[in-house]
Amino acid sequence: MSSARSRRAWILLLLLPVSALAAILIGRYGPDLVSALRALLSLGEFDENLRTLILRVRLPRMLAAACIGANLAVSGTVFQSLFRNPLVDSRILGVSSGAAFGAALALLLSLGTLGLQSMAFAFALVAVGLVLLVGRQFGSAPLILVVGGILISALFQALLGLLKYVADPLSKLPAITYWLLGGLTSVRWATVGPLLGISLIGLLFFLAIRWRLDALTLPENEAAALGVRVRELRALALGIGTLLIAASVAVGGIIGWIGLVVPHLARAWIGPEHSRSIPVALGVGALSVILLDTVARTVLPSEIPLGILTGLLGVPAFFVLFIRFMHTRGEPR
Amino acid sequence: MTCLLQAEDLTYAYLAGRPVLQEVSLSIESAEILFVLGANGSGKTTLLDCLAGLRKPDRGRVLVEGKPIASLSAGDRAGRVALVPQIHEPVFDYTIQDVVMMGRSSHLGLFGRPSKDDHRIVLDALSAVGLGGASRRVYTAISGGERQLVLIARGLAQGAGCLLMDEPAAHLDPRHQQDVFEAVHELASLGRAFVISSHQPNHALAQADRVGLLIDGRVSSIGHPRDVLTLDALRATYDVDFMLLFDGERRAVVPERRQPKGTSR
Repeated sequence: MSSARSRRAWILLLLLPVSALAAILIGRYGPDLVSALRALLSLGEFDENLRTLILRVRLPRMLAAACIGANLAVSGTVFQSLFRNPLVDSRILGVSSGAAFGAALALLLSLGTLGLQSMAFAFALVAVGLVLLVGRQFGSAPLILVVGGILISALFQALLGLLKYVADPLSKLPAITYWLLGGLTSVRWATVGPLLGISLIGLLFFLAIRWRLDALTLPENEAAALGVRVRELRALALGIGTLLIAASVAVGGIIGWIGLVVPHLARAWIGPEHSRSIPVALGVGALSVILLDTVARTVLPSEIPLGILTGLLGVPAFFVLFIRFMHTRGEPR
Repeated sequence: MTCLLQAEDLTYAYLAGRPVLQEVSLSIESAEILFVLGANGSGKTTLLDCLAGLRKPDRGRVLVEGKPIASLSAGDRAGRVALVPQIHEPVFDYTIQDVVMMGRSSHLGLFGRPSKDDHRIVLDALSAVGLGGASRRVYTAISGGERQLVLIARGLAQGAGCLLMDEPAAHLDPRHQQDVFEAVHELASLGRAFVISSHQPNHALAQADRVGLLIDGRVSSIGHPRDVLTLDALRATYDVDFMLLFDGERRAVVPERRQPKGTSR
């Protein structure tokens, strides 16, 4: 690795804990950083309420943001390779629309936070399961799965529309709409456990197999001739990637763009080899969502939904990246 | 001479009752260059896929160093037989080195990273095709001829003794075709075997040790290029009349101009 690129990796490694610390110190309650740090470390006289807030509310929320960012970015990177298409993102297999339907159903039935998460998670898996089932009828080629994803997404969009149509417009409908915008307002230790567990296992899995993923960007026949067990590896990566996305959507709602923009950013920054792009996407994804969520809960008197913020910033970011990409393509590294 | 790769009575059909290959038998020894010629749809690519162990023939079998290819693990198979595909545009801009490293995929442990040995093998493979100094260049930014050489290097990095090439000269200008064939000859002189599918009888005349002609999925003849590529055999293969040109010891064939339709000969 050239020294410039390894320097970039070190910057990322340094930025992540700094922003994580900043994210739990900054907030509308107690804007003074020094007193927040004192409260965190129990130094001298400190504000007990602030300490409780930091440890009980901001810390799990920050961890959820980090996991969601890392999950969406890593599975986005992997999915773009599996489908051999750089425009694919984490929503490709209908995960998000399935989760949205599940969450809306839970809100309609007035289930609690854990119930909502479970329903969103379950229906995300149901949607992907249906896509794979449809795909199997036609040989499971990547293009078939993409078409299947579009079909199943459309189905769940329609079902979601039906739920919104029958929902009580004064109480249930706003709750559904708000959930669909994405956000981490309701994250507490009690509800964040499954996300942390699934993220840890899934991300470690992709870090461990990242050297084998490069060959999956080749046509299937060619990868098979290299001695790669394409179908098994692809199925495993699809399954684990889906779990990561489903767990993220279940907790954070529909957060777009991270799974599309961050993989591109990572590749533009460090190169397309998964041995580097996976850890960098992980870091940049976690960093982005931590920062965006901190912005979302601090800049305005009331919270900005995270999904809106990622859209507002994601579109121009992608545009800039794309122009840069067109200019630098083909230069030796 | 040792028999590296052997096909025994291969029959393969995509649709039942319409076999693409019928009782194809051939063998290839180390240091040998075998060309497979045939019209479009005559089964060349299917044959290479079967020889690479990627398709399971309906009848017959492929032997690698005497062992049935179906009995080998994916990694063992890739370490013996490599498929060198036609050049194509990859999705991501990998460096040359990364592309060749993909040839080591089957040698990595489940959670393994490439070792020092893997890196050395990759550089050796690139040197063997004359691209030793270019390992960090980006694969999407090099010429078609260089890409074909990189794909050959990837086959070498697999450790394969036998390389199956699908129309390596397609899309290349004469100079780059020559670069590729020179690399093939040099590697053959060091003991590698090549099975090359081609649409160019003249390449077979100039480059091959042996030629096999495929007509409707059957090997109609196989042997020394001058014995196999007769005007009658070429007409039977391509349904076009050819004429033979001589220049000293070298020979070439060109298709004859066809009579305009409606006129009698």
